[in-house]
Amino acid sequence: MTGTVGTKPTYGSVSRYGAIAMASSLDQIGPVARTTEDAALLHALIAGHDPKDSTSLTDEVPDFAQAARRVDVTGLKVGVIRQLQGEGYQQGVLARFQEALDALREAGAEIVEVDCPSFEHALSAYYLIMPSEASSNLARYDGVRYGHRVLPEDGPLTIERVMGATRAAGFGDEVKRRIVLGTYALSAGYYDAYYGSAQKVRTLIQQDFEAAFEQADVLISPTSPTVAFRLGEKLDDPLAMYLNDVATIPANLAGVPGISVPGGLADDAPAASCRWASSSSRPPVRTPGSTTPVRPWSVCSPPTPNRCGPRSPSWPPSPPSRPRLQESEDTYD
Amino acid sequence: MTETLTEASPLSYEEAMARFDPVLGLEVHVELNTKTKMFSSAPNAFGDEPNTNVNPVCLGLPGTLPVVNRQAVEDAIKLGLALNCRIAETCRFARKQYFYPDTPKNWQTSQYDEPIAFDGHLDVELDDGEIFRVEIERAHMEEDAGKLTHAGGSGRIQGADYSLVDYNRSGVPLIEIVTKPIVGAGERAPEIARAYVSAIRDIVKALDISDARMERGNVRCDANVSLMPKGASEFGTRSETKNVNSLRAVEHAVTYEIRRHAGVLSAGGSIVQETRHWKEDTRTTSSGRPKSDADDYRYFPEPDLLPIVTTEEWIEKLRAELPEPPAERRRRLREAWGYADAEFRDVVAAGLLSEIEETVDSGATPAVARKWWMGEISRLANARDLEPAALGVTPATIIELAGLIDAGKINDKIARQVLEHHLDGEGSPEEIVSARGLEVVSDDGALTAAVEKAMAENPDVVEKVAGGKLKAIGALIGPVMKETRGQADAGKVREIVLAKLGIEG
Repeated sequence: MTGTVGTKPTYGSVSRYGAIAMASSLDQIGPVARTTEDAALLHALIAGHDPKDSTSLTDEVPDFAQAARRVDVTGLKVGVIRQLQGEGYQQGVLARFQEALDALREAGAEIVEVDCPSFEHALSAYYLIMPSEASSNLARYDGVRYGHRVLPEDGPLTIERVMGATRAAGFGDEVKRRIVLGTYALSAGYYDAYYGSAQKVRTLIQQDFEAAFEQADVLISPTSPTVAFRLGEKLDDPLAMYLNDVATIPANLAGVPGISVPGGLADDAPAASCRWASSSSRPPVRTPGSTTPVRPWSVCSPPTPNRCGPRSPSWPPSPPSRPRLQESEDTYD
Repeated sequence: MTETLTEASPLSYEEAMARFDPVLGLEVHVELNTKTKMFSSAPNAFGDEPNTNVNPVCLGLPGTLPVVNRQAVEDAIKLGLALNCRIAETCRFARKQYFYPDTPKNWQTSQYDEPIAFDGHLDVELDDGEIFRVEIERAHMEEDAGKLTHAGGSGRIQGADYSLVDYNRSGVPLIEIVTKPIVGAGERAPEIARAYVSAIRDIVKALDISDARMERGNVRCDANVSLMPKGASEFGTRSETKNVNSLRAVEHAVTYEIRRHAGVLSAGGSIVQETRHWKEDTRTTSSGRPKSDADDYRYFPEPDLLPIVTTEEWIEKLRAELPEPPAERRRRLREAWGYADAEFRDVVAAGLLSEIEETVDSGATPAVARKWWMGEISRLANARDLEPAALGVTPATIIELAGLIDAGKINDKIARQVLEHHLDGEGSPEEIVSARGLEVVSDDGALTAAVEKAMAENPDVVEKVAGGKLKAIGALIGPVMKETRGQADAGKVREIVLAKLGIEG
């Protein structure tokens, strides 16, 4: 939507310590950059185990930058997810996506279709898990110890009333909507029906990914069904706004890594496609004749023509800036 | 509309027992003595300046994440094993959510449907030696809350002028042990409650996982009490008396609640399901907040922490480190030492079992060990405001002192002085005795002179002794001691007096 390269690392790849938590089991810090290589360099810098985050991965950080520089996709099996195209997807978005597939095929990749039937429940599951965890994580903003504090206009100054006035004034509508949804979903008597069911869907989605990665080395989909909408345009229609996440949410729920790269313009706005890779909990797949584990990085640089105009990075990306990398290594700790 | 009666005069305990059977449920919270807190590296220490043992994690600041304290998990497993529980192969933490300023995240990280230990039991020994088995439902890990101090009002947050909060305790590791309903306790219910909490305290002390000082809240008991009519099997409505902080208070709180419930029920009223506060001064409880089983804490698994997996190997390693169960140990020592019941109880109460055991193992007789530890060592420790063990008296010193007494070189009184000099750093007892010239005056010449002098100065006493009142000799020993600067052997003095008067001792 923004014509940038956006990375969603494997859950746990980057420590969440210091990040303001929304939904702990979904939150993952990832670079947004002009080029895939910049994103890879930044990712390498911030990735790695952090003893302060119990959910951070202990695996060795792979060489993201090397993978990002790789352009050979010969023999790579790219899986198109049946459920993430078609109805609800803007024509222009689908056209740009098709061009990306053509470019990959031309560059030697094999395009296959994969079936992920549980993905259709992903959005519902996400909008139960995310608000549930957000309602909990945001509980600490009560005006008692730090931050914004609002006193009730009249009546007694009890702790409940000060907390209530502070939270009423401090949170915006969307945040309040999520807190209310999440509080409801976690309530006694509803937990199994909502949060519990959503977690089961999550497991099914993980299984769909696992099955898909049996058939393909990487998966590919449009990043969102539509191009960017105008600022504030959908504030009154939150559901439409939520629907825009339909393609990225399955990976978020399953914790698998992905990268969104610009794919040209559709209706004068940037469209993008996403590549999904198996998470590092699985043995990395290797392409024939290569010793480099396939990360999403290795398939983001087919020579897709630049259609994003002056706002988007030039293609192919500029050569890596060596000094920057060295500097990064010095400060990486 | 008729109001349901919820208050009435308590019945006497005897009347209550005549009509009802009590059911207890005890929740004991044990604060662990780990170096750091449950989920952060902030120090776990008692009594420091408020809000000094804190860090961003236990203050719940944005961006912070918990990390489980491995030692606390090991402590929980050990306690679970000591309570004959099964240890879960995997268990998880959960968020128990409620808004209250003593929990800075507005949730308490606890365990909900997956406790680390469950299905255990503890055999509790009552005063008369009878054993009562208490079934344990679960033991789970959680974090303590901060400490609130309410100024003004009634000492509650409602109506207070302001409230102070100390987060030093926030995040301190806790293990909560929950019993299954204790039925069949009958009139011994209060005694069983006390004995149970006492047994838990002994166990956590023996495991060295808690300082176990109830007055500091290291071990706290919430006592659930309900009554059912005699012979019935359906439980009545319960009340939960919170944070009862001494063994005596546990017994009294249960007794009072039984009497109170019986009063309300006998008057045709019904018990409100609520928390109650224990009031030590009046030995009564007062109403707290309503508490229903449907209290909604919106529990869900803590997503910031991974499940804890306990391997067989880990559990067995910890099992091998378990000490002898305190009750068994007491039984063994009582038999081995042969103390009178009262003597043994005093030793247990003084917390000197280990010291005496070590002294006996080093070669002292049980009587000598008890005499020194319960007597002079405790007295000196008390005077110096220390625990007896902290004085640093070794078994070797005690054995040396006892040897000097047995050999007739010093008497008891001198021996006590020698111990004090020893603690002041004057060397070993033998060195002190010779350096200070404290050896008992047993050379007959000097002693006889002193005795003769005392007899001459106390003719009335001599007359009594001569008349057969042998106990009166004591009145002569004092002056002789004074003459010999305490170094006379009392037995010898007695012999000389009797010899002079021609009486056969």
